[in-house]
Amino acid sequence: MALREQSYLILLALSQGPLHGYGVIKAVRELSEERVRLGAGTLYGALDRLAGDGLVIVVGEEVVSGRHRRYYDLTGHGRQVLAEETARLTRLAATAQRRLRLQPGMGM
Amino acid sequence: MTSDAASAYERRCRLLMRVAYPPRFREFRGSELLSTLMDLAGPGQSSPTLRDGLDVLRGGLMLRLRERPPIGHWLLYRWVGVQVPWKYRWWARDDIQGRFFFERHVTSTMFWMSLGFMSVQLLMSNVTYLTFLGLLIGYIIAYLFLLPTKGQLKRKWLARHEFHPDGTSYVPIPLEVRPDGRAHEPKPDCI
Repeated sequence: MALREQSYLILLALSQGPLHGYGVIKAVRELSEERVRLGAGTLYGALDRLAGDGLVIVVGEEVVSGRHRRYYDLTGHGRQVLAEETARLTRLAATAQRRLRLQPGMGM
Repeated sequence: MTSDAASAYERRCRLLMRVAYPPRFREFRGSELLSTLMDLAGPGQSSPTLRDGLDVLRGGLMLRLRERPPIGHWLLYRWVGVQVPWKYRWWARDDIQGRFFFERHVTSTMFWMSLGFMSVQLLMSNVTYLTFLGLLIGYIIAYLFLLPTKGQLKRKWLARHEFHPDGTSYVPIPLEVRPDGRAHEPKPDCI
């Protein structure tokens, strides 16, 4: 299953343990080198879709200084899909590097 | 963020969410979304940025489109009151409890009646006499005639989708199961 970049980044953000919504937004911004800045509406739409596909799950909630936090984590299936997608991207990047090396003046 | 700016920011976020999202979403996810919007605020910011505002509106619109029953089910529900499939029943609840539900119901009833009226006329005389004025008078009569059944109608339609008259579900909301096996119950947020 090929993931959209946004979904891939969200899954990757959750790979090191549960995060709440704002935590996911910050992690995605860092992972994408400030390129992908998720808005709240996009984030919750994406989390709903990923939860519907069984890739993420709500693992807890708490209220911290008046703010309601709900924590999301990867499911076993989510982790597997993330690993498969990472392997696919690695193969793609390796192919890209091989092709670029074949062209004169593009040594890497 | 000063407290004045913070409360103005919060008020605008709540307004934005009321416009963007249907009640079922605000009930269960509202305070979570609001908290995330509060986290996104910079110091002294008194309203969400245009970008964040549009993003929330877009998120709400996508959710409404995603959770809307397919056209066939929608027509059967609207015209004859057939129960929508289980996964759309929260949509039905918001529709029944929403503004102008009764007016929408009368309009669809009128639509059926005028179709029937026109076909009878066509069969009998090849000419239809249904005018705008006739429709308007028919609408007013149907409205007044059905008005006493308004509360009962809502209760009946809610019960058909397994909701109490106050809009709470007969069956408790399913527990989300944690990976470690412990159950976790989402609580309504009530925004």
